[in-house]
Amino acid sequence: MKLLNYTNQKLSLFVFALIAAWGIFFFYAMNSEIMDETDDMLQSYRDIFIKKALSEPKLLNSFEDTTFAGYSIRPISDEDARNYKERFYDEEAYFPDEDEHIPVRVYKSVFRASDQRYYELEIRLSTVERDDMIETLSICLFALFVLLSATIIAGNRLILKQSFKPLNKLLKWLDSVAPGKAVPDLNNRTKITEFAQLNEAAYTMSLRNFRAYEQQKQFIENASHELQTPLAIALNKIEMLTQSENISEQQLAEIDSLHKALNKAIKMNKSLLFLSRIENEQFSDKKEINLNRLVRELSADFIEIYADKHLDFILEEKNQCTVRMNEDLANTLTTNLIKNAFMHTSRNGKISVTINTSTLQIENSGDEKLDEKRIFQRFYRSGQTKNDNSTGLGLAIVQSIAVSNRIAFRYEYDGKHRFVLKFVK
Amino acid sequence: MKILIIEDEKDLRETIRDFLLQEKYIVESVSDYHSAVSKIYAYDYDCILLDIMLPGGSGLSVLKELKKLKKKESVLIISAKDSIEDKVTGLESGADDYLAKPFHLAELNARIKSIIRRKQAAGNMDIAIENLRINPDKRTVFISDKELVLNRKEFDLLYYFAVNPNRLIYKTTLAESVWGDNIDQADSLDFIYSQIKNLRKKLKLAKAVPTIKAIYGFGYKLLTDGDDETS
Repeated sequence: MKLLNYTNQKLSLFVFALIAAWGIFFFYAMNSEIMDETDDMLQSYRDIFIKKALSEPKLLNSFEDTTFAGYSIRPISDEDARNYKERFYDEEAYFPDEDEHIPVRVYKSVFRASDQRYYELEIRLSTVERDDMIETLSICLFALFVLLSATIIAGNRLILKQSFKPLNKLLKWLDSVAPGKAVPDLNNRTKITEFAQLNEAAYTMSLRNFRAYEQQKQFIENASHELQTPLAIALNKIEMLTQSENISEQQLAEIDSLHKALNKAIKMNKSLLFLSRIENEQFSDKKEINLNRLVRELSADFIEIYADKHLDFILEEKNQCTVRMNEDLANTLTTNLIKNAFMHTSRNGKISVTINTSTLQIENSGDEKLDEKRIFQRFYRSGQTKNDNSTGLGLAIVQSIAVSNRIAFRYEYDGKHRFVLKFVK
Repeated sequence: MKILIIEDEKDLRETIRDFLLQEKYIVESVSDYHSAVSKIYAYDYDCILLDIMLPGGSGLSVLKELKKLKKKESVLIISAKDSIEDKVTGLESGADDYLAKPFHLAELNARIKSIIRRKQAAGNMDIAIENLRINPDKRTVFISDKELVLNRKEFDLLYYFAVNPNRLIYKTTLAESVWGDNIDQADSLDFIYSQIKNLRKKLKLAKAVPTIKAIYGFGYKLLTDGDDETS
């Protein structure tokens, strides 16, 4: 969830609840105020009536008054009067004139008239106006609620969006920062201290990363270069040694293992140098490469080399695949992947290569899934790899070439290993 | 044949010199740019082995000097900087071949012979050892004037032996020479073994004088004198 939406949602919920609570409180307060008002009015009617009744006792005999606020009087016993409780309540009263029921407020009270007898006085007051007023009030209140919520939410959104602008810009900028690429300028002025700090931190960190990356790259390249000459000397001295006339078989065997170890070091050094060269983008000379032809030639070589493994090799060329890239890189890319399949498939295993317009897929049988998080790392060797000749750099090189040429490279496992190169054209 | 080695690394320079002396070349060596330039001004060579990074100047400048003098020396660049640009620039500046360090001496020998042979276009191109005759350009092999048909890999192997006769060649060197750099040489040793077995059989059937001798598990050697030993 976006920060803007998240914050806005939380704020909106809060404001919504708050306004709703206040609205409900306000409504009830007003409502009870209006009710009280009606009841007060009824009470004052009673006072007026009693005063009138005490001075004019004949009023006690007229049961019904046809004025708007109707009343009735009923004599009650002393006993009842002593336990009498005044009360207010709402009811529907039938008005024969208009032939309709009208909501009324009823007030029942007791008084002692001048004849020393007790009477129950019932006063009714129409509440039509009161209910109208409450209805209007509710509508206004609801409208206020909706308007207030909407404007607050919209306002919040606008303000938050404005405030988060530097953050969004920073995020976009961070996306454009890639390892090994020069750090782009960050033009993100802001008054907000935290964002300014974040900008600063992100920028200096990227710069530091870039420098560290450059240094590391440079170091690897320099180290590999510097190693070439001593390795060359060692290799050539060994070669000279083998040409000596009086060398014994046992000494030759020793030299053989020396040679093997040295060859491995040479190979590894070459691979490392190759890797740093890819990363330093020293393979700029591009041309159109037909992968079908390349794969056909390479697999013919590998079939010969690994003939004794009796592998079942299938090459399916669904379409011609032509890519524009450096020839050496294309060569290494396909060689490493195909070599990988031939090298790691066990005897009588199966390899199938499929070429489509923009994909190269290499499948080979294998019992166990490789750790996809680690296979592209340098010097990764799976548990199954017992091959002494593996430098653990083959797939790292493939990955590096893929990254530098915008080729999507992925690994899957569903009972067999599958490496897929997808060329973006 | 006169060869000039221009290489600043003392050990490497001396090893190459010793090796080339064994191969019966006349060898001179220098270690920096200025002595290299004064050598090429003063003498003619058949082949120059040139390192790119030299004290006092670049090997590429040596190439330019050679061009200026209109000299016809074959130049083989040997460089630690195994980068494509260097290779391309080197070859464009007039070098005949490029060999990245580290390299096998047998490979160096093959390359030297190949570029010298190319320069002597007018002369006899064939490599002849006893009754064995190889034409590298037509990729044909004759034994006592009778053609011996070999497959591509067998031919590559025989050629490599022929330019390095009587020299013990390490098996991975052979694999490398046949497959190039990209293929894992160590994995192709079984294949090399069976190819050499076939090649030996074919040579024997054709009654070739030179034979290929296996040396322990280490490698092979082409014996020119026909000492028919099949260990």
